[in-house]
Amino acid sequence: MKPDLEAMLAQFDQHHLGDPLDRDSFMTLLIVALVIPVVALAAAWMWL
Amino acid sequence: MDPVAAEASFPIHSSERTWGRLAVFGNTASAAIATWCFITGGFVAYYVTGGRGSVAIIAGTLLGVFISLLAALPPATRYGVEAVRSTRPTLGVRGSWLTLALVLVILTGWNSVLTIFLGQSGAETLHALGVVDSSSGWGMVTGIGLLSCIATTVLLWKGPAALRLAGPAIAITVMVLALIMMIFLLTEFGWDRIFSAPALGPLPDEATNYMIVIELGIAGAVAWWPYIGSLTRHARDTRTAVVPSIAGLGLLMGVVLSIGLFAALVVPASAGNPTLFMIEAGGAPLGVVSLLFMILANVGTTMVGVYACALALKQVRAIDGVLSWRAATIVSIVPVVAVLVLVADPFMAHYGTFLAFAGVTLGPVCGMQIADYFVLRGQRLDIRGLYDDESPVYRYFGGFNPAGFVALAAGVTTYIVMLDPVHFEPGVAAFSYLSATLPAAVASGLAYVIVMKSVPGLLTRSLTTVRTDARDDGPAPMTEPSR
Repeated sequence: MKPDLEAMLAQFDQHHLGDPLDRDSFMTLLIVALVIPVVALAAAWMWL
Repeated sequence: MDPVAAEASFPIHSSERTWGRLAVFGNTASAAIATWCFITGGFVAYYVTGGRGSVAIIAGTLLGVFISLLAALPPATRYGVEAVRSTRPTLGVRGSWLTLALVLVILTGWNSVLTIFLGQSGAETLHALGVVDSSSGWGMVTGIGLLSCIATTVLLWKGPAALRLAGPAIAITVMVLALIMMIFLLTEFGWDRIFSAPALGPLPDEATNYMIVIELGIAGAVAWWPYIGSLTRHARDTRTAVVPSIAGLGLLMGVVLSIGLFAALVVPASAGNPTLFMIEAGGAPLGVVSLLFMILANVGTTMVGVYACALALKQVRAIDGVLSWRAATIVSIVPVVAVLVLVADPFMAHYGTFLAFAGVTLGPVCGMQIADYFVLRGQRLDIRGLYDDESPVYRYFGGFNPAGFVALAAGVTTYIVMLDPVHFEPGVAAFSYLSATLPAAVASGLAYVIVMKSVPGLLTRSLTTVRTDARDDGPAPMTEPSR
């Protein structure tokens, strides 16, 4: 049986949300997926 | 886990999210690695050499992953939403139907591409191994494709819980097989030959060649946007999902793309697919490795694609009420079977156009979602607005958010100005320094913020009005570690 929408929303009103993207995770994403690739691209352009 | 939440339009509670790092990595890697990596790698070989090409395609893929993860992962891990529902704040309750159409077309297209690739390359491999007499028969290609569709349906038959176990198993096996392929290339041809081989058909301007390869990586990774929400919503928390997703969707995919690049450079006739000359050089053992790689990689990706497609379908309450999980899975795979059986050749002839469609539309979608979630809402969405169709929070004007559509138009226009997506020809000189997807995403995000702040009431009426989390006491995004 499918849970009632109101009951589901009430559960979320308590403490069932996940975490926001914290600063550490954001910095990890920024460095690994943005900074390092940009530096690698510049290095490969100059030296390869 | 509540199966209804995992299979339908309801969110998964944080206490029900069971995927650790291995499951997230396994499923993102399983989704990313398929024989399309060889095809794209072969395309890269036309523009650049092995050294620059491998760096450019891996880095470009990571840049695309940065955009798509930043857009899709935070709302998925915080609110348990997948792609379609996550666009309600940006496009409106009814406007998100556009996302549904977009996601269904793109996922069906990807799944069809994979199934046809598997049918074609599987038939070629079986022919090269001497198992069948001919590799070109319609029946052989279609038969292998149909078998993969059946395997996908069986894997998902008992619900998405299968992904948790099947994803990592497939990913690890495929990684080992890809490693064997890479070792074969390096021992058979050597570093010197691979890295000294010239590009197959470069344009006159070297910077443009370099940026086209980077753009291929970015656009390919942004195309993961429909998959990311469906997968990472199962992660235990946001932190658990970030690094494995970067590794699976970015690094690992980049490495397999490089295999295609190296193969095309040393054997141009292979077009990036090393399987046939592996069989010629290594006989049956390497043929079996190739065949296993193709089957596992393509079925693994199709499995995740069909799951995301079925989940997207069930975001519409009317559909969710009628279709069971199994029925949604079948409805998601039937168009793939239809394409495979009826229009496989014409569809593959327009593969480039399909790729362009995905690239042109998803960059702007990501741009406005990032602007909305981080800049305007401080990582705080209205849970009732997301899940209750009657809630006024994200209804805007008749269920449509004009800011989202203006932003989408701005992003798509920017992309087309920068790069002709069908012929892959730069439209302006700035493309060689900026790419096309990055400016398209930025233009979309900027236009979205401007319109949201310019039209009275558009933003203020859609901000969260109800406290949904005891920990949510103020607009303080990214100021503290989650644990």
